[in-house]
This record gives sequence, structure tokens and C-alpha cells, in this order.
Amino acid sequence: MGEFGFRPYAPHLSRLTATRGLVVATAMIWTLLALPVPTSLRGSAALLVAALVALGVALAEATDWRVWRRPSMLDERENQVRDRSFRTAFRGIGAGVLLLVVTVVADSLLLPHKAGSSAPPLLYFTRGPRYLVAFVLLLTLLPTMTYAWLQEDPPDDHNGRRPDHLRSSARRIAGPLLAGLAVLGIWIGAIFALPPRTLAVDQSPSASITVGGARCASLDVSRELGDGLGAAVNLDADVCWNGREAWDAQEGTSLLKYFTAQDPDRTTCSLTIDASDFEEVTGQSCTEEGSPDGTIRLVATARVSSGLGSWLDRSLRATVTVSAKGKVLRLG
Amino acid sequence: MVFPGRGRILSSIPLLALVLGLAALALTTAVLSGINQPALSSGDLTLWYFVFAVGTVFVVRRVSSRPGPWLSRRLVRRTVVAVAGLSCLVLLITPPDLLGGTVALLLIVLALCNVLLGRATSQITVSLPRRLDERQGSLRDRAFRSAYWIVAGSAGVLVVVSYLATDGSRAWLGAAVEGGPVVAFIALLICLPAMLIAWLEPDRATPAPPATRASLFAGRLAMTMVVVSLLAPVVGAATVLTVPSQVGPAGQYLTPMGSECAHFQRVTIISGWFGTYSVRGANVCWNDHHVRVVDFQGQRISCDTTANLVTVSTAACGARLDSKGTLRVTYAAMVRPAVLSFLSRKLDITFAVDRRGRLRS
Repeated sequence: MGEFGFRPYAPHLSRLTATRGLVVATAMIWTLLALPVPTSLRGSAALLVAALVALGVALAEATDWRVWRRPSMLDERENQVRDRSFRTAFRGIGAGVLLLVVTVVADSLLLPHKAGSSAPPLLYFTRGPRYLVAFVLLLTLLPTMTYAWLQEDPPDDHNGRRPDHLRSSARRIAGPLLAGLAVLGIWIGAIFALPPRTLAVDQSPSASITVGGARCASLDVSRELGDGLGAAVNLDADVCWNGREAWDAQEGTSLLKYFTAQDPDRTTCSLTIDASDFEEVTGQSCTEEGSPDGTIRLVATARVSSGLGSWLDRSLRATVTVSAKGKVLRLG
Repeated sequence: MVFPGRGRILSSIPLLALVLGLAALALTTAVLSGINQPALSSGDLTLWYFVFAVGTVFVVRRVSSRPGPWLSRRLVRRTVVAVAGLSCLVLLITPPDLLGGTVALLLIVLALCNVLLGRATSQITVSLPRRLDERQGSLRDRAFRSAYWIVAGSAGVLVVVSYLATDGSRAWLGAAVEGGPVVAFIALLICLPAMLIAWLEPDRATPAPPATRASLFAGRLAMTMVVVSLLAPVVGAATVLTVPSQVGPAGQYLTPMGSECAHFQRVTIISGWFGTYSVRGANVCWNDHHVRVVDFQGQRISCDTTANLVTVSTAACGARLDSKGTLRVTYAAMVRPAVLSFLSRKLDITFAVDRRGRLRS
């Protein structure tokens, strides 16, 4: 208290403002991560996730981890605020889902030319880890965010300090910092230490067609980093063979070429990159080479870097090799 | 159980304004769309049904509701909760191709359960805080806390595990986002807090609410809107069985592949809220002496169907040469509406191509 019977500066108000500032910052960063625009974050998504985790820990510290405590560890008022924050958070999920549904319906009505696409354009989190991570972070952070917004700051003691003043400022800063760095370290380790996974292989001979004495087939392979949480290189190849040699479908004036021209997603040796939000993907190339025995080899390559600088990068490669007799020698 | 005090007369003006506003909006859209196109599309009708259903929910929630003697019983309430939970479980675990028209039936069951749960809990999960006493407010917030853990925990674990586990589980997630599991998720977001309260509350006797003119009007309006909401899909499904199909002329629609091969196709349409737009085609080659259907990726005859709230299943699909060497492509399919899926109608499409690549009727 000041000497005239009032306190000229109210620390609890500034703390409340600071906590709500953290909530706003968390919401803004989450929106950046979850928005479908831009389509690629070029490696900066890892930083956004680390920042969100750090802010989540900071908010949890600011709320004394009350959202995660058992009801018996809280007093009646704290329990009331906690339950109210869960109610708000529950409706927050509902509002998010409703917004998603309305957006999808509006998109399908306003843009009928997209009707032939395979999936509604805003149901994104099956298309990459960015939206999956955003969804999980939303579920995890929302109760703490609402609690931090709704809570009334505890009263100061006579020295202008909070009753839990034993909790040092160092811990309040170090905890979030360490959490953010740990997330970043685990992410980079998973992306750049784990071997790439091969999936989405299509080599069914039954899908081949006969064109002018030769047979042709589509072969698709995908290689992805971090067990699905990193970038992926997809190689879609259409290959023909006649027993003496194998060649790509683009060289033949064939029925297959006609049909592949109808489907822009299925051209010979095409390279597509998925989920380049958590890494930067550069140097994409798609090459093919034939050998004297008639074997053809198609290779798609790309360089993947962390987005934190050029000091951490690795090569990602997908290969299709087919013999002159149509035997798939390598797919991966 | 003490219920929110809604003894005061409900103003019928907001209800009337809501209903009239919806009707005016629907009429305006119908008139405006009629300028540019002959009728409302299936998407428009679905959107307006959605808007009407949301309006119905708002109207029903404004009606003063008390459980009454039946829904005051714990056993009855728990039965309703079990039915709603079972419906969500079926939506979650049943593959989309097996669900078929069951989705619409389950949605109707869930809608009814939601109405019953609202009455059983006196709408305390959707009431304004000032209309609840302290005990009800506390009960409501605790139910939301439990519901959050259940929904967030199950959805979070399910999404992460299915994305990371295997290719198959990731494919399941892709289908789930567009199928029954996402419907179950939305249903739980709407119903789960009321389900928890209805399950936990003990038996209590409740007096009948006082009837006023306004409350009677609101009740009748809500009942009418609920009946319309439930009957509209049934009427829409019935039109699939009665509306005549429009069959377009057969044609060589794509650029010929060289001088001796082309893609031929024919279109058939059943228009309406429930309907289908089907294109049946065949890749055909000829040389003056012979005509034949050629393979493309194991498919001799291509099918492209846009189905709106109906399932189209192939009954017969093939091509044969007649005695004159003309190729006759025949296709037959069964069309079943999503509601009343035990009923069906047959669609037949045929066209013929001779040895010179000319279309024959």
C-alpha cells in the first residue's frame, strides 16, 4: 500500500494483462500454423510448434498447472474456474468444427469446379502433419488458455508479492524455454536421424495394359521422413516394356499416353512433394536412364533441410527400376 | 432435480421472426437461383435442410421443457444415453461401404436422442448461466469438464495413432474424416455433456410445467419443425423412386486416339435433392473388320458417378458382339436412396458401336 492508503501500481493487474497477452500470442501462432494459407511453411512450422509448446508451458506455469491437477488439489473457487474453462474449451472445439463444416460446404457451393476433387479442400489434417499437430495442440492447449483468461489473479501479500513467491522467476522462464528447445531437438532428431520410410507402393501387374505388343503399367512409390511427420517425395511412373527393352510411356504414341494425358497427376516420372512445412525442400529432380540390357531406371531426388539454416540437411530419393521383361527390380 | 425457472411467458415474437426469416431467405434464394438455373441443386437443398435443422434446434431449445414422469426416471434416461452412445459407436467402427443408408437412420436416431436428452436434463447444458441455480451451474460445468477429457482424449489419441501407425491406419483416417467417425465426433460434441448429466442424475419427481398460450404455441411450432425435419429426408428419398430418369444421347465425347480408337459414353441423370449423375463409357477400337473394347488398367468399361445421398451399385456391366459384328455396350445399376435404402430402382444404359467406329442406337 502507498502512504495515502492506495496502491499506485497494481502488480496483479499487470500480471493478468501479461497472462492474457500470452493467451493472445498463443492463439495467433496457432492460427498461423492451422491456416491453409500459405500452402507450405517451408520449414518454419517446427519453430511455430516449439513456440506453442513453450507458450503452453508458460501459461501452465502462470496458472500453476491447475487445469491438469486433480479436483481434490484445488479449492472450491479454483475448481469452479477450472470447470468453467473446460466448458468454454469444449464449445471452442465445437465452434472450430462448425467453422470447418461451414467452410467446406461454402467452398463446395461457391467453387463447383472443385467438385471432382478427391477430398473436401479444407479437411487438411489427413494431408500432412501440420494440421494433425495443430489439431492435437488445440486439444491440449485450449483448457489452459481459457483458464488463464478466466482466472482472477491471486491477491498480493503485504510485500506486493504473490503467495507462491517461492516459485522463482528463473523457473518461469527456464521451463518454457527448455520445453520449446526439447520439442525442436526431438523433431529435428526424428526427421534427420530416422531412416526414410517407403510406402504407397503400387506395382500390381494386373493394372498393366497392352499397347501394340508391349505392356505398360503405373508404378508409384513414396519415401517419407520422420515416420510420416516430415517431408515426402512421391514418384509416379508409367513404364512400358516388350521383352527387349523398357521405356517410359511418354516416348510411345500409345493408348497409355493418351490416357495419361487425361490425368495430370499421372505423367511419366513425375515428382511431387508432400508436407514441406517442417522442412525446406530444394533441388527437386526427376531423371531416367536406360542400360544396355533394356532396363530402365527412374529416380526422383530432393534435398531436405531443417529450415533453420543450411547446416542440417539430407537427401531424399525414390527409385523405380524395371527390366526389359517388366520385372520390377527396385521400388523404393 | 430443480429445473430452470421458465414459468414466465416466452415471447413468441423471436420464434416467429426466426421462422419467417428462414422462410424469406429460402424464398429469396429460390427466386434468385431460378433466374440462373431451372431448379435448386442438390447442394442448395442440403444447405437449406441444414439451415432448417439448425433453426429447429434453436426453436426446440427455446421451448420450456421439463423431463416429465418418464424422463425423470434414471433407467429411461440411461437407456436414451445408451442408444445415443451405441449409434456413435456404430458410426465410428463400421466401414463406409457397409454403412450405406444406415447413416441417415443413425442421424435421425441421434437427433431424437438429442431432443430427449435436452428434455431429460431441462436443457441445462445450453441454458444461459443466469437461468441456472448454483447447483445446476456446477453440475453443468463438471459435465463439460468430463466431456472435454473424453472427447479430446479419444479423438487426439485416435488421430495420432492412426496417422503414425501404418499405411492402412492412415488410409482409415483419410476415410474417417469424410465418413461416419467425423459424424460421431460432431454428435458427441453436441450430446456428450447432456449424456453425462442424464446418466449421473438420480431419480427425481418433477411437476408438470404451467401451460400458457405462448408456451403452447412455441411447443406446437417446435413439434411441427421437428416433424418436418424428420420427414423431409424421407420425402426426398421417395422422389428417387418416382422421378423419371433423363438419359442423354450416346456420343464420342473425347478426341479419337489415332484413327481407330475412341472413348464412347452416355449420361443418365436422376435430378432432385437425392439423385445421381452417371456417365458410362467404354474405350473402343475398330478396323473395318472387327470392333472391340480395350482394357485400361484392368477396366474395360469406365464408370463415373456423382451420387447425392444415394448409392449406385452395378448390377450388370458388359459388352458383346451381335451377329452383324456390332459391339453393344450394356450397363445396369441399382439406385438406393440413403434413407429408405431397402427400396431401389433400376437404371439401364445401352449404346452400340459398329466395325467402322460409328454409333448405333
